[in-house]
Amino acid sequence: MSFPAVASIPTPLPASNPPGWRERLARRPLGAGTWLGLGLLAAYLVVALSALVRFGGSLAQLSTNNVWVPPFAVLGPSWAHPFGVLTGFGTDLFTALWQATPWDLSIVAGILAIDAALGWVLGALAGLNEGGILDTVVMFVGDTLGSIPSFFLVVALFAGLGTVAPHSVGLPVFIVLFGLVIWPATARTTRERARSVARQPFLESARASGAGQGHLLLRHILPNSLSPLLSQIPIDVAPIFFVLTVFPWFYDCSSGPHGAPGVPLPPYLVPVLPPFSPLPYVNFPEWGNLLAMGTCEGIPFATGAVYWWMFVFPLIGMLGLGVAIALLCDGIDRRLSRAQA
Amino acid sequence: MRRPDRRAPHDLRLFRLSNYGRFVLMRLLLVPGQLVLVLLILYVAIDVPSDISLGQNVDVMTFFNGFAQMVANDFTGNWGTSASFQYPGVPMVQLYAWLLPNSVELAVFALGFSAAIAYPLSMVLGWSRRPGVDFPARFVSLVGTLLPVMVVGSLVISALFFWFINNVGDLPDQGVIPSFSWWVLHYEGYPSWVIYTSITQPTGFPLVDGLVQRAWAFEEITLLKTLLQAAVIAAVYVTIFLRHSRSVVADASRELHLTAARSRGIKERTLLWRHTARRVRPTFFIVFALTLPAYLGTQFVVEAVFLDRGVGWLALTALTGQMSSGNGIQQLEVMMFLLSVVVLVWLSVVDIIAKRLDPREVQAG
Repeated sequence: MSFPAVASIPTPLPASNPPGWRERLARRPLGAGTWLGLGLLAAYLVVALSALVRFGGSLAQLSTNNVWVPPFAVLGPSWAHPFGVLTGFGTDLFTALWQATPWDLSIVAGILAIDAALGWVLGALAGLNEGGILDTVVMFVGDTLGSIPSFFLVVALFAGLGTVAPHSVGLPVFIVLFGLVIWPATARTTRERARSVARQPFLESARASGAGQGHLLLRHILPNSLSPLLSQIPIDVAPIFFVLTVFPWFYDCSSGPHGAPGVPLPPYLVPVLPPFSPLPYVNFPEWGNLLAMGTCEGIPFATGAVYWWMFVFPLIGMLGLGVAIALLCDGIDRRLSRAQA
Repeated sequence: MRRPDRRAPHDLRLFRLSNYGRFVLMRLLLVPGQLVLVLLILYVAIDVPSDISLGQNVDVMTFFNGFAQMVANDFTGNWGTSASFQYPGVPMVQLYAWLLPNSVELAVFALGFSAAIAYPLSMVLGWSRRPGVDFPARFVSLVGTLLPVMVVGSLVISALFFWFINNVGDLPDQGVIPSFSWWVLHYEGYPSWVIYTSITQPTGFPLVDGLVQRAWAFEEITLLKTLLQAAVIAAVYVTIFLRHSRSVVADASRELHLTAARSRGIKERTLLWRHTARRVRPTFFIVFALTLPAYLGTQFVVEAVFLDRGVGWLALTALTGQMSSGNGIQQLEVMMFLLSVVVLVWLSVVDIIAKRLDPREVQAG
């Protein structure tokens, strides 16, 4: 009696090394927009780090010079002052923006980090447990918080908490509050994606294989719900700068102690910090603060002159950061979409 | 012939609601709960710290009493008095009643402009597959979202300042109604139907009051200044709206039924303005509801730039502590309460309308 020959079990091929970053980049090259975003962000980081080295202990204080303050001549861009002089503060705008860069990067990064972490995780959890108690609670709280304009809510909450918190910790408190207020939009969009991912067959398979909620969340839901987060982050940059810019401008320029907008009282506009400001003092280098003063003094209606440098350079600083974040997020999103496809 | 209904009046089946009716009921029931949560957050974050800073002891009883008092004050209009030097000692509820019509009138024009620009622009930009359209549209909408509106408003005023003085005989800022100098020049001061330099009577809507008083020169200037402010609001808000609405149209344009319709020879124009427009209109409503806070922020700042005495100006005054001298915190809390009421009610109304407009829901009955 003979048995049919049993086919020998094929020996597995030796595992090849995972592709390195060069090979991955060659397979799926980053787009021009992503490179531009990365380059811009790297430039901002270099500027911020150089400011830390250059200014050291005086990083939190604008350097002022009374010689640059009107009624003396208004100084525009020149070799001595590449970005001109901001008259109300009597400060060189190039130096002021340089000093402000690390502060603004920290503020934006801190708020976006809290926003992303809360919105992403809570949205994914809500989507995974669709219709459950967690989903109901997260969406109820999120919808309620999201119904109030975040930029007004954060100022109101900060004003209240500011009465008990020491003024020196105002900026960290502001960052945490803003992060806690702004997450609902991220959570809502993430939840929608997480809901559809949770209904995919591969998730059913994982669940049938005995995977727990934690595994499903970390391994499947969160990585596949990254796209809404990347779309939302650039949008969330706008209210941050809105708050930092509008309130000092309104207080100093529109109907505050100085009267009409664009008409600094003689001899010149003296910047004053609004009562509920997160900044520790008025001479604190921060882009929004500088743009507020620059808009107020750079566009004096009654004279017909426009001192463009006072508001254009702070504006470029803000817009550049927003565009860089948007380009980078967009690039990562496209790369992930191609990888999933 | 239909049989008579023999069920007893207490039979609950008589009150059975359709799917849509149930949705409307649930959506409306959600609003009071959300409002209570908003008030609780405001009380914990604004009033309690203020009490602590004044040295008051906050135990459980004080907490609930204070919260109940705050809710009662909010709902009964006990909002304190104005500490602003423009309206000294005026009860805040009266001030809101005076300033609200001006803001509503401006919003009507601004939203009209915004809709007239944003709707066709979203459709065309979202539909277009040309590579030269996508990137510029995204870039402009991103920059518009990030651009502080006060810069745009200030530049517009600066550009039109002397043209306005020479051709209109008034200043472009200083509110929607003519400025003090114009009144002095033409009427030797404010007439009896303009109070506190900015509030018109009897209705409070400047354009309506101008018509009632047959003040045609006033009407012309007020309309021009209202249109100018509305145009600035629309220019900024449309970019914010486009950021969301364009992708809605782009997604809708990739749907299979459009490919099928195209293969049957239906014109692109028909596909865009009849098929896709009908499909995306409910989503546009939702986008508008979700961007309402951004719209409010834009209008508030434009009111401040043009020194227009409206609710926006009042909100920024409260939020920068200029209603202080004792009642600043209360004004903040009242302002946030009113904002949240407006947005919560608006969100539920839009949800209800969008559900009714959605063709899929209509088909499902």
